[in-house]
Amino acid sequence: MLQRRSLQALPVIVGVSVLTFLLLNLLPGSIALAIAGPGADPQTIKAIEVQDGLSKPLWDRYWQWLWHAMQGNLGRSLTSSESVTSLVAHALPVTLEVIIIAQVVALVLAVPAALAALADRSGRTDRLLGAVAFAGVSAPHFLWGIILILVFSVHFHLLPATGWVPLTHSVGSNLKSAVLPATTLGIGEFSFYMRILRGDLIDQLREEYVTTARAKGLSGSRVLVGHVLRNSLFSLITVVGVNFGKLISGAVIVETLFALPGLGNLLVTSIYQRDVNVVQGVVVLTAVAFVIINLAVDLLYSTIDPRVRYAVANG
Amino acid sequence: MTSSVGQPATVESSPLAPIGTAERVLEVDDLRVTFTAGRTRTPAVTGVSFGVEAGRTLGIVGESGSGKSVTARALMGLLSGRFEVSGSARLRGRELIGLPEREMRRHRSRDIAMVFQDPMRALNPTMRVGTQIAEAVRLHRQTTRQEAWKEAVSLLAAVRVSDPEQRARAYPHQMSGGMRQRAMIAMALSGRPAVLIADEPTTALDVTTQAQILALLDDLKSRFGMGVILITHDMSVAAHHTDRLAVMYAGRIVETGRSAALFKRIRMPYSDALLKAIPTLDQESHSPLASIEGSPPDLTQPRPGCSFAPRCRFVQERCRAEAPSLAGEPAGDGVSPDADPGHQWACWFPLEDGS
Repeated sequence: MLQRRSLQALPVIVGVSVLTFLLLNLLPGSIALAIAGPGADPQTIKAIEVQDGLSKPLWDRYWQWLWHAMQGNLGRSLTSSESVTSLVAHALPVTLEVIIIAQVVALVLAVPAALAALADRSGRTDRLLGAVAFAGVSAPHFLWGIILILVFSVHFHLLPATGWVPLTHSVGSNLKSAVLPATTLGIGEFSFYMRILRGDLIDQLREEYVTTARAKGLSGSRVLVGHVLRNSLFSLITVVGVNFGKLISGAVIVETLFALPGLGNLLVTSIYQRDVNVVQGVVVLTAVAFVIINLAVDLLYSTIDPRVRYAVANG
Repeated sequence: MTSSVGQPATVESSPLAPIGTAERVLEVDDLRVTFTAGRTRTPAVTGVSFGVEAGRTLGIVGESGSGKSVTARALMGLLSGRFEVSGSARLRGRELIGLPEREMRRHRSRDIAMVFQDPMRALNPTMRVGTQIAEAVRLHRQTTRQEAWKEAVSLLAAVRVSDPEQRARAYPHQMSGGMRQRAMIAMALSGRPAVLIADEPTTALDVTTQAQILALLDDLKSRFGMGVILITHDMSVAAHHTDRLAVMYAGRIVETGRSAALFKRIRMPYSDALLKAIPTLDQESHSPLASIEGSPPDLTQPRPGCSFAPRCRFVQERCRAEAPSLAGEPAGDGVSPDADPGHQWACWFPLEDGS
């Protein structure tokens, strides 16, 4: 299955790279002009175009890019002339760390919260968690970010408002700089996950196997955790996978807000600077990451549900 | 069949012993279940009483909505929603009705177990069948996982699943309907219950599998000395696989007695109509199937009189005014010697022979 799905993913990645390439080149204003800066004379612009191969036809440039990309060379930044690969290599860990912390914490809190809401269905806990979730999904990332900065940095001076300490530098300081951005991203995720899981748990509780499990003499909580939870995970897993993509776009906002040297920040800066090579590289890598995550989700389905495994094995 | 569970835990009686000598393991008296939704009250079960004997099968027959399943779930303490239960159900002398969930849980499957209608839906789709059985085993006894697994395999062997080691590792969707129902029965047997409730255990299965499952239940009840409550809507199943019978209509028992005697002389028009609803082979082909006109009464709107009166072919004035209670033949009224003294019916104008 992995093989077939990987092959299906290939056109997606190629499609994304073609689209970004086209879009970037169709933008008004020439790339050489952006590099040369405003007020540059036509000779300089022409020279840049020749030097960076910008005067060649679009398809030629695309093939050349693709050929190099397949060898792991994503070109050089047009502004700083650093290699795109090394720029990404510096930015990616920051974004990944924030996103992963956000996802893990959101999930780790969402599962018990959903179970607690279910145990106290329509009761006080359930309604309170429902209200929290409603607020969590309704308010945008930047609002949560500003509120968190106001409370924890400005008022209590507990955590830094901006900046990033690399993991290799100091683990403690690194985590301190990651907490607020990760929380900002995670609040919405937590709310979303909790409500989805709660809904699926309620649906599954109506299934007859729940009665069987109770008829065996299992306690309510053992039925819930041992039988119902696993069968309720499908929508949650799907959403978690899809949300990685959403979080990458959320990272653009959060990294700008908290001044983190992550992928989102790199992308925004490169767009402003018309640094086509960097934008192209970041977008394609993001697409690849997204495809891989969804592939992993597909594999998880079959781990959880033997019926999927069966269907896959039989065609 | 050789397996550790193949031997009965206690042999109460041989299946040939006359009715009445077997130990009564379950005694239900005046069971009432009322569901409440807002201000509507639905009396789903009204004053049901019966006894279940070790190694014997009590059949509960009726249409859907007659209160059969509600009765079963009330005994298991598995009703859901808002409801009130009253009356008594004594299992080996211990009262089950009104037990708090924590205590009822200990009786489930150890003293009273249940098999459900649709084994596909009643088994957890994402758990190996053996694991589901072993889980039940470990609830009743302190054993290791390996021991419980072995026990699960031998339980599967006891319900005549071929190649039980292999089957234990299968998931429900990898089994046939009959296999799944056997696995359900194996699970129900794990606690060696005194009473096994089978709620329409063959309704979701094809006819040949039905016969095998019913034969298996017959065999297990005598081997394990279990009392079985067989809930069905099929009078022919009831006729062949029960020792005693209770016909339910609109939440009440309307006729009860020893199955053999009851079928020889049905007195209640509803039981008779149920029996006539079975198509037979000597019926002329393409002749219309017999059915009971009308539909069961709306229990939220109690009306005076016999609840079957609106659908009864023999209805009289009295039937609409007064509800008959369950009673037998008055003594000394020309009772034939082979009649069942326990045969009772709720009807003002019971059917006579040949009617």
